[in-house]
Amino acid sequence: MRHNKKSHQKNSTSENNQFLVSRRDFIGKSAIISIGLMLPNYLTAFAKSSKNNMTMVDPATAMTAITAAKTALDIMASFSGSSDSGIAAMLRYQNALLHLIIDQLGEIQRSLLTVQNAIAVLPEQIKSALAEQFRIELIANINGAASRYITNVLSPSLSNPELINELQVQNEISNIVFIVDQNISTLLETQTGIGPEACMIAPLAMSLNIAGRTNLNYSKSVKVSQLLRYRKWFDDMLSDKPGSIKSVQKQSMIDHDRYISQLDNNPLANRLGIKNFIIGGSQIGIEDTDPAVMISRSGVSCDIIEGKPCDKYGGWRPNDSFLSRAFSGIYIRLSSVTKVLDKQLDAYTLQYNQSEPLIYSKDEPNSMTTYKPFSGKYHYLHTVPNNTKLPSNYIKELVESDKTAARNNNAFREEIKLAITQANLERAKISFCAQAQVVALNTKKRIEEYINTIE
Amino acid sequence: MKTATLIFILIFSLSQLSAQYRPPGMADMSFYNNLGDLLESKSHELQDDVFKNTAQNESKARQQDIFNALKWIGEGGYLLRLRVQEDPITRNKVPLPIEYIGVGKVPADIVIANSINPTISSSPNENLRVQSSYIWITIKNKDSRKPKLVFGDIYGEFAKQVNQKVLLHMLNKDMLESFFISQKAVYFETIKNNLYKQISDRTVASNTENLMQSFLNQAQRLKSIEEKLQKDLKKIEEANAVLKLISDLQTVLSVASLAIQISAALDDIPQASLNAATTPAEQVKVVNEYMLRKGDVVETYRQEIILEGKTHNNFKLDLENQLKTLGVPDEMIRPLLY
Repeated sequence: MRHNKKSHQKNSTSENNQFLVSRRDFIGKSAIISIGLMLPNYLTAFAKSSKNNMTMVDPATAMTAITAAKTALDIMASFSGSSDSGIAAMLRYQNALLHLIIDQLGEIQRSLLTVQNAIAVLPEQIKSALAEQFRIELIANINGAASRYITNVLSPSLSNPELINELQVQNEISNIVFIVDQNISTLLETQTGIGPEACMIAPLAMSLNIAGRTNLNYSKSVKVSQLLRYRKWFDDMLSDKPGSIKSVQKQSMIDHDRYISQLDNNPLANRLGIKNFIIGGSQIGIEDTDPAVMISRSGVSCDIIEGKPCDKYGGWRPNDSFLSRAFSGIYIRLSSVTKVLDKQLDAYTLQYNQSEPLIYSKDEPNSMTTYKPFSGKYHYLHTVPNNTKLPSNYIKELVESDKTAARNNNAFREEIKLAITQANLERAKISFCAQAQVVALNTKKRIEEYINTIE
Repeated sequence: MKTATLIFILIFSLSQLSAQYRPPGMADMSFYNNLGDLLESKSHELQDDVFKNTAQNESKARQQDIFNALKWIGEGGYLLRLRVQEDPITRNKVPLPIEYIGVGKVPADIVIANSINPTISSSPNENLRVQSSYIWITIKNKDSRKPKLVFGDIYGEFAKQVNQKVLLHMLNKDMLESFFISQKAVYFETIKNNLYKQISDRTVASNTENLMQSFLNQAQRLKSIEEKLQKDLKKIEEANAVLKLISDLQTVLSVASLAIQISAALDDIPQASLNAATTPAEQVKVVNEYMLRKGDVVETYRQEIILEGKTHNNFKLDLENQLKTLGVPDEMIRPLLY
C-alpha cells in the first residue's frame, strides 16, 4: 500500500493508509532505538546495515526485559539490605540461618531466570545485543553455581550439618568457588564491569565466594583480601568513573531530555506542554485538544470574525463567542501527557491520554444540551457545503477518516508517542541505576561489617 | 690438644657471629668493622672519596649515640639509608648525605615507623634515578668489655624488598594507620622493659611507665574522637549527595523509591521521619534536619578535639622531657610520640 508523496497530498484516503505503514515503522524503530540506548555502539552499526530490513519489536517487550532486570535488583537489594539479611548470613556462614539463605538464594535465582527468559523472547538481533549488554552468559553461569550450592551443599546440610566436611562436598564447593571466580574475572574485564548490570550478580558472586571459602576453611587473610577486592569493585561502581552506575544514570538523564527536546518543533507537543516533562521539569502538562474540529456550513474562515488567519495547519484558538456563532457541528477529543507511577519500576513513566470523542451537531439538538465550548483551545476548521446534513455519526466518520485538516495531528501524535516510549525506557533505566546504587551501597556496608568482625 | 683449641675457637667465634642480630630473611649478612670499609666495598658505584671520609667521620661522631640507642632496643639494629642519585646526562652517581633513620628489628618497619610524613613520595626530582640501599649497624661482642659496632650492607634484592614493603604501606592508608599503632606498641614495650634495667630508681621507672601509659591512652582517646568526626563529616558529605540525588531524580523516581535511596546512603537517618515524608520536598526537609544534627555533633567533636588535643600535647611534652632526662635515645622516642 505504499504510495509516493505527491499522490498522498491529492488523495486523502491513501494518505491515511500510508500513515498506517509509517506508524508500524515508528513502533519498530521506537523499540530498536530504545534498546539501542543500552547499546549505543552496537545499534548504530545495526541501524545502518538493516535500514531496509527493520525488525519489528513490540516496545512493551523491551520494557519487560528492563522491568524484569529492575525486579532482580529489588530482590538483590533486600538480599543485601540489612545485618540480618541473606548476604550477611552467607558471609558469616551462619548455620542457624540456612533456611533464610536458601530462601533468598532461591528467590534471586528465580529472578535472574526471569531476566534471562525476558531477554530470550526478544527477536534474535536485539536479543543477542541485550544479552551481551547484560552479560547474560555470566548471569547464567553464576546463577548455575548458586543453584548447585543450594542443591548440593546447603539443602543437604539442613539435615546433616557434618556433610560439609566430606571430601566430595568439599570438591563441589571448590568447584563452585572456581566457577564464580572465573566469571567475575571475565566480568571485570568488560566495559559493563562497573555498571548497574554488574549489581545483578556481584553480591551473589561475592557471597558464594566467601561462603565457599569459609566452608573450605580458608584463612582469614585470604577471605579479607577477597573482600577487599570486592569492596574496591563496589567502590568503582559507586564512583564517578566512566561506565559507573552514576555515569550511566547521568547519561540516561541526558538522553531522556534529548528525546523530549526532539519534540521542540512538534506543534501538538508544544500545546500539551511536553517541555515540562524533562527531568527537572514540573511534570505537569497542559490539557488540549487532539483533535478539535469545528464544522461550519456557513463557509466562514478563521479570520472572518476574529480577524486572525488560521496557522499553516488550518487551525487556531477561537474564543467562545466565535465557537457558538460559527459552528454547525463539532468533534473534540481532549488529550494530555501525564506522569503515571509504574509500580514495578517504582518510577514515574509518561503516558499519552486521549479522551473518547465528544460530538455535537446542530442537526441533533439533543446532543447540544451538554455542549461546553472549549474556548481558547486549538481547533481545526472544516467547511462543508451549505446544505450538508450533519448527524453525529457523519461528523465522526468525517474526522476519523482523516478528511479534515485534523489529520495533521496524526503524525504529531505518533511522534510524541515515539518520544515518550524512548523517554520511558530511559526512565526505566534511571530507576534501574538507582536500585543498582542501593544494591552496591548495601553490599559495601555488609563487606565493612564483615571485615570488622572477622579481624 | 691443638685441634681441640681450634675447634673451641671456631665454636666460640661462630657463637659470637650468630650473636649479632640480623634482620629476618637476611641471615647471610656479613659485617664490616667500620662504615668506611663498607663504603669502600661499593667503590664501583661510589667513587667520591670526600663523601666516604665525611660519612666515616660522622659515623664515628655518632658512635656513642648509636651504642646508646642499641642498648635500649636490645635485640635489633640501627638502620641507615644510603641514597645515590644518578645524573641522567653524565650518568655520574652522586651520593646524598647518609640518613640515620632509627632502631628496630626489621628494616622496613624502622623506615615506616620513622616516617612522620610519607617520605617515599617526597623523593627528589622524578627524572633523577635514585637508588636506595641500607646499612644495618649492630653490636659485636655485646657482652664483652669492648663491644664494637659492625656494619652490614643491605643492597640489591634485599634493599628492593625493604623499599617495596615501605611503599606498600605508605600507599595503603588503612594499613599504615594500623601499622603505626602496632609499631608504637612495640616501642612502648621496648622502652618499658628497658626502663627497669637501665634506671636504678624504681619509682622513677614506674612513674615514667605510668606517664607513657597515660600518653598512649590519651592518644587513643583523641584518635577515636577524630574517627567519629571523620565519620560524621563523611555522613554530611553523603547527605549533600543525597540532596542532589533527590533534586535530580524526584521527577522520575517514586517517593518510596527515593526513600530507599536515602536510607541506603544514610543508614542512620531516622526511619520514622523518613517514612512519614510523603513528598520529595518533605524528604529534603528530613535530610536537611539530619544534616543539621550531624553538623551540631561535628561541632561538639571539634571542641572536644581542641580540649583533648591540649591535654595530649601536654602529656607528650612531659613524656618527651622525662624520657630524655632518663637518657632514652631520640630514636626510641620519635616513633612513640608521632
